[in-house]
Amino acid sequence: MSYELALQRSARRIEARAVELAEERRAAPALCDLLLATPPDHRAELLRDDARLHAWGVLERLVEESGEAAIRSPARAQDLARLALSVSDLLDRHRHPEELIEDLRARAWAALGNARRVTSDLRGAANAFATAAVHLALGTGDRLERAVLLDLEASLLRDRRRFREAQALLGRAITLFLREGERHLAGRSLVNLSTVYEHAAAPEEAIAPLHRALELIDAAADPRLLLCAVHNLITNLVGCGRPREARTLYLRSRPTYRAATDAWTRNRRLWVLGRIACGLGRPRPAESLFRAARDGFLAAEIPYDTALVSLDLALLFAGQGRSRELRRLAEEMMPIFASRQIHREALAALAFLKTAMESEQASLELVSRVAAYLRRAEHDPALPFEELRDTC
Amino acid sequence: MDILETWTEVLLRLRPLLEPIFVAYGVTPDQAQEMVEEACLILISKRPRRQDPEGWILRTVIESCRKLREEAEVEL
Repeated sequence: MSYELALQRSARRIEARAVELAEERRAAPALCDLLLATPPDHRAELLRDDARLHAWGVLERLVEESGEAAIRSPARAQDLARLALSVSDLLDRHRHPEELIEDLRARAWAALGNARRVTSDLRGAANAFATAAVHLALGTGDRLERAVLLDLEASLLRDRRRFREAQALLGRAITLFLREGERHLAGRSLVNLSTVYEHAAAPEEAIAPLHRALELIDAAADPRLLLCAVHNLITNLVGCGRPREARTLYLRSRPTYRAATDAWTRNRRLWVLGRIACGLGRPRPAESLFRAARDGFLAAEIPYDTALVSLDLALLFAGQGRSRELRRLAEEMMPIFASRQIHREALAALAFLKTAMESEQASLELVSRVAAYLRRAEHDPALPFEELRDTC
Repeated sequence: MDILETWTEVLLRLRPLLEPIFVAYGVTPDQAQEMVEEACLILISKRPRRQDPEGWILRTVIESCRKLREEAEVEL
């Protein structure tokens, strides 16, 4: 047999398999809906008895949906990942090589780990990632899968505040993605790397990875990731005292912002614009932008960001010696205290500041310190406020 | 790789690149068929679609050839 004939035979077999896969993928959404519409107690029975569910397309879709649901709905993401693992045990081994199934099992465990991380079950997340690594070792050796797992594990290390290890894992993930020709995914990991620096309170170091990410991200494939990179870069520039660069980038990025019409983006755009205006020494537009952002966060019931933007307003007022406005702002901050989404230490810091504002004793230095504390404590709920209070 | 291209067309296009690799590593046509099938099966089974599928096939085939040669050397 010649190489030519060998390649022709390969092509025919791959084409036949591609047709089968396309059919499975077409059927998968309806089959997953059927599975998810079934009461949880009856799903195992349905999975066992309905052979249509023993399909690669179903497994793949459950894993993908689990990954996508992690942030928005981590409990659902965990359900989906567990269902995917059940399906993976039912696939026909003659049609699907075991190594490929192991790759998707690893993805399912990684999705489960990520969803557990989001719910702050950090130990459970670490166990799931360790199991994912075991399945990956039994898989095809696809480096892309390895890179995806490293990226997710890095988020766990970031949440555990093990920043150096998170940076190292992301460095490896980025190298693997680039070696595999996956520039867009490398860009995504660079955005993740920038968040590690942000959580470590090192905004200056977050800037270079974001510049590089903007070169790599495929905007057409993932406009949201592009917006995220742009917005984070603008935020970090202004956070490092570089408001002119932040403004230039914002002006260049207006079409990207305009394409996203959701309240989340609108509020954060107004907020960062307020910070740019502040940095450029324009307090009047800064004030109206901060107020608009704060009202947006209040309407969207996002208390932590409401508190942070209120502190930007407080900084503005304190800098101008507007103690009466500070007192009024303290009254307007009341809804924040009713929230259960703000951890105890942060509430203590806010209450401390509120008292100072009400008694017109809030200096610029005090507001700055509380604002800096709250920014750090957003990603580190265990950070004690007591130490700061002692120094104020 | 165009989304409308058939696998026959893709592998026909890659043949001038693949054949010298097989020859250099002393890979038989049967082994070549197996390697290419394995690589393409991984490719079509995974989503999202890779940004450089052809480059990936070539890299994967080269790695498989190396592995085959290493195994042969161990057997000797």
